[in-house]
Amino acid sequence: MGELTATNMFESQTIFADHKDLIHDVAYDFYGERMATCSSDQYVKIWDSDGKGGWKLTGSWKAHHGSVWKVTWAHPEFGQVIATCSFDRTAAIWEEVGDTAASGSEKGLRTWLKRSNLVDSRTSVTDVKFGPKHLGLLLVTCSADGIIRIYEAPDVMNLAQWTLQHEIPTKVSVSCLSWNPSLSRVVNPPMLAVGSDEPNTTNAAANVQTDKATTCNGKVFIYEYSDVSRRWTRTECISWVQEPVNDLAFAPNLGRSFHLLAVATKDVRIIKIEPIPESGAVGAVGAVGNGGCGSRFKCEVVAAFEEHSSCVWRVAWNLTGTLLASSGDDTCVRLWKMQYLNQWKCVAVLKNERVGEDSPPSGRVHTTYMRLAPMANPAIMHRH
Amino acid sequence: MIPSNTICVSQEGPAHALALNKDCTQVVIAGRNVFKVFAIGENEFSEVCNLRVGKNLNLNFSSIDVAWSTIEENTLATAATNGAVVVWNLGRSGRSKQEHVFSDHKRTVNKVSFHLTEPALLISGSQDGMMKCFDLRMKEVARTFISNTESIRDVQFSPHQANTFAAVSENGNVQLWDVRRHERCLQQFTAHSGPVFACDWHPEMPWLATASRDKTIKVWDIHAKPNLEHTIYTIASVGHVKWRPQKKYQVASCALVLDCAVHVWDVRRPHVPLATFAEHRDVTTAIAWQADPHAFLSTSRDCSLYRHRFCEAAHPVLWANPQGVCVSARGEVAHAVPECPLPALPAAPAHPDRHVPGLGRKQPTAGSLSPAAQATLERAFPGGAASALCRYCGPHAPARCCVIACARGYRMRGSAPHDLADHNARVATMHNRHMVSHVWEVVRCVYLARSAAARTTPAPPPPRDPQPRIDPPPQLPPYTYSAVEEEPLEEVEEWAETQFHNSGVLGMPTLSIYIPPPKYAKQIRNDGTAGWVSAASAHYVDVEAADWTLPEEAFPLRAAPPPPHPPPATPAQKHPPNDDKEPHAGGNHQGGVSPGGSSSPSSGSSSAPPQLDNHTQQSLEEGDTGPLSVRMSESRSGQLDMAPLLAAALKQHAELGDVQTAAVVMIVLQEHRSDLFPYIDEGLQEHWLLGYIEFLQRHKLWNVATEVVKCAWLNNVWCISQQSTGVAVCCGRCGRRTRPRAPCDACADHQPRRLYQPPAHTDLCAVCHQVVRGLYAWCQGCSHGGHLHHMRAWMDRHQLCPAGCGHHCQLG
Repeated sequence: MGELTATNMFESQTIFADHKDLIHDVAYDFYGERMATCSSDQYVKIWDSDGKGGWKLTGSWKAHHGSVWKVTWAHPEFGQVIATCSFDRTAAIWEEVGDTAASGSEKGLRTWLKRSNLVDSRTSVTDVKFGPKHLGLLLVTCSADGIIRIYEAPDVMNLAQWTLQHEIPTKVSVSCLSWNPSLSRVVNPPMLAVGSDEPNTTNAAANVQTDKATTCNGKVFIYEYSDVSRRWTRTECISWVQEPVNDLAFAPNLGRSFHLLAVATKDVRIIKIEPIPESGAVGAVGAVGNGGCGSRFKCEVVAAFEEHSSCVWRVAWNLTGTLLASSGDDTCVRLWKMQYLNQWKCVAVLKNERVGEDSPPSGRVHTTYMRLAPMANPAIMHRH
Repeated sequence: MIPSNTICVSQEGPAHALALNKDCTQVVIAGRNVFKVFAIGENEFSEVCNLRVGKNLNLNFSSIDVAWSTIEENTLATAATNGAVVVWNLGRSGRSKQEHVFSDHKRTVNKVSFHLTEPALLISGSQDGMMKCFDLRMKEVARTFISNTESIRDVQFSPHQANTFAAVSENGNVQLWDVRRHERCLQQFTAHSGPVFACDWHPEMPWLATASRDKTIKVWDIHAKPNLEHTIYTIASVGHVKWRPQKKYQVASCALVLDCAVHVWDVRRPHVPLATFAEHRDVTTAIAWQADPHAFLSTSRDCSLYRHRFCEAAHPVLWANPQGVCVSARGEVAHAVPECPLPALPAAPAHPDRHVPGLGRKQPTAGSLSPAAQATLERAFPGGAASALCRYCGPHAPARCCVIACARGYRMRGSAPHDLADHNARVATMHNRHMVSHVWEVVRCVYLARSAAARTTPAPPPPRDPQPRIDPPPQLPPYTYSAVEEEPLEEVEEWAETQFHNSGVLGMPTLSIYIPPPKYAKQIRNDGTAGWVSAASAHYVDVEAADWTLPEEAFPLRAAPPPPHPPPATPAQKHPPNDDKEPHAGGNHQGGVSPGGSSSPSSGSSSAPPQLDNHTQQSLEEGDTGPLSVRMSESRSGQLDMAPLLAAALKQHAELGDVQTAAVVMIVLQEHRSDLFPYIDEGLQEHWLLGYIEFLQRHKLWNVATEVVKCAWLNNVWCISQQSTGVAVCCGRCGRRTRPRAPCDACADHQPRRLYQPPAHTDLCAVCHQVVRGLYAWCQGCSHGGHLHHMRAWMDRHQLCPAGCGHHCQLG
């Protein structure tokens, strides 16, 4: 089901990305056959799998006038479409046009056209995500000044037209967001998780000021759309996460009764969000008012891992939501998997050995093999 | 609102320019409505002099630029909007300090600049495209330099060659002039594609930095032939640029529009600013370093004048997310990580009275680094501009392959549920998914009994394919009486115990219900629902139980004779009387038999390895399907129904990420959905189906996904096949596309008959002239087509339509 098996060899392949600055995001498309990278060098690159394990550069263009923070793919039903967001305060929607032979200008690169530029933000746009397919062609952006904007393309054939549907002020700096990927509108209303990287202030007076609206020190918020009021409202503030949040991700929900949210802060956390049926729905209105946690959802931290030793930057789920990959300041990827008794354990630590060395890349592609033992005891962890 | 160390003073109006005196103790700011001199104290500015005084405040007091002589203490020069260059003498007695007005330029003067060594020389650059060199002693224009460009935006004397100055213009050119020769410039080159707004000479190197509307700062080596050394990419038009003193590679810039912050760049890392100062609320209009690298002043359109200390800088590079990780649908992990990670930087001690940066303009946290950490960052910063992109994948994640193979192999309709279940169980077994296989076995048993019960007369079970077992059990006819369990139970118990001892698969998390292999489950009575339920429930084995006591509620309340002799050991069935929906949440977790482990010969024979390892391996093998653990609390309710158990089992599979089992079992049982589905609400059903469809689509199993859609009974799922689906109809006579159920207009005209009779063979292949069944590939230009492979083969060799219509066909 798409998970990696720790008892097998992991093949590690370095791709010579040739970005001129740090890569900030990597995104696979729906099928896992294309990959987009974005970097501070203002370029976005598209890589296609050749089906034999290799990746070939098929697109590369200067997308923004600032660092490109995030890149994300739309559902292929809408075409080959990506969205990017940048430090230059814009988010852009790009579409691949034509095929290699016709319009490939150089080296067989395909052309990506900027279909739309979303310029509503007045500060750096920190994250951009396409909404679940069943909601139509939706896009959400968040910016450093804490405003979440939800855009919709009313006509999915016309990617040039995006209307700003909702603008949700959060009053804190927002660093990341994630749609609840639930496939059914019947079960779950549209839901967003938002993470803030607002630094914790020691100043008590400042705390009172900034948190007057929230009365909750948490850094992760859940917003839900109500069909009745036609508004997005904050229905939950997860008070377990008090440190600035770098990334968060909902696990793909293929029919669970609860949601799993992975949060990257000082550690990796997995939070189980369980909707409370019926009686809780009544309390949802109260939740907005009193800001108290747990009136609409039952949230619990299922796991928290300190293994990354310091800051955790990214989290990503596999297709079925059974395996979590996290990346932190120790430059390792750690894979976490639920074992019996609902315990999450580290099943693999992946490290690119070239990182930290001074040797320049010798070839374009560098392949190594590593054997990773199953981790019976995550406390005793071998570096590979 | 501002970090405490940064000092600020507000003015009446926005200042366009500022200039420091030669020892950097005083600053003059000038704008349309403001012209003041401030003394720079340690923690405040104090106003020394307001030059905008007098009766007739004419346009000479509205300044675009201001310069302070680098030699004379009291001499200032301003560039006025009306084209005047005004010289001021602060040493004059009286209120008016105006010394002289040069009204030689026709249009606005953009820039004035003093000669660095000659106190009497002043140069100006104007919108009229001319530069004039003024002699302050003679009070006249010494020389006029005609640039032949539209307008000059900046003029700067070189610190390296006393008589050379650089002038930048709006057409993107940079000119180097000798101040003594006005005939022609020394050098001229095009630096930018847009207007150049500012330039600055490097204090030590022969470098000139130019700032342009094309959002770049370029660094030119002017030593011989101008050579582009570095390009910095910023987010907005660059209005001003100033080298940081004593730092060879660092340059400060501010934007003309959009960006209010002052950025300090390291030219070796051209995309990310090293430091950012975001105190201003509006666009910064001018910056000036205070001769040392740790403090500079800036004015802004928000009417404020700031003195920034470098230790108050925010560092965007710390704020940016340096890593990326993503897991693909194929199970690959892609990881981007800095090749040279930044060293750990100690944070500055929290200042007791630091204020939070204003909301709504949040920038990276200012002043978060100690000076030592800043120095470390400055050293590491230029080299940290590369990421390694790496991907990791298991060779062929076997579990995923199994699931995909199962998806291909499963049958979802076309025969009775128990047959389908039987088929699917074998498919699952074939791919080593024993737990899933067991679910199918249970389904098969249950519905086999039901189908048998549905018949009026006892009949042998429907023929089914031979089990892939070495020792196929005898096909016993269904029992017609109720007391059935004695013989099988003994076997079950014995079998289960041996399996338990052999397999050593322990630590099952929950009350596992053990469903015996089919040979036992088959022997079930034929008296309807209660019968098969009791048969199934009687076979539970809970190895945790020390003694076998068959609880009352394990049996239905029915008039059945008790078993002749109670089984010697039976599950304690101490399932807690709670309505716990989460199977794992029960109190007694320790024991249980893994059906998967025990039925698999290979894992069954392994001698008890450590529990956890075995678990890990097994769960990995199994592709994340957990144990078949069926919630038992329902059995207490008296109406022993298999449906809630099955529903719970499916829910359990779904929660463990195996939506496939949940969805396919549901599809197979949809004929019987009246009894199973009340336990799974409709939303969840839809969720499972959609989840499975998405899973299939991600693996490009379109046919299977379509099959699921086709089988679906829920409106929301079923209507997927209606979306974006069109049916194209071709005229059977001429082969052109036409409206549905009507001949095409051309043919109808030729056919005067009222009722058009389409020919018998409608879709003929243009190549082989046979009827095309299935996919009909056709050219949209001439609408001729045929078998896909025929058309492809034809188009490989030919350009024209195979039907001979002469059209240059395009297929697909």
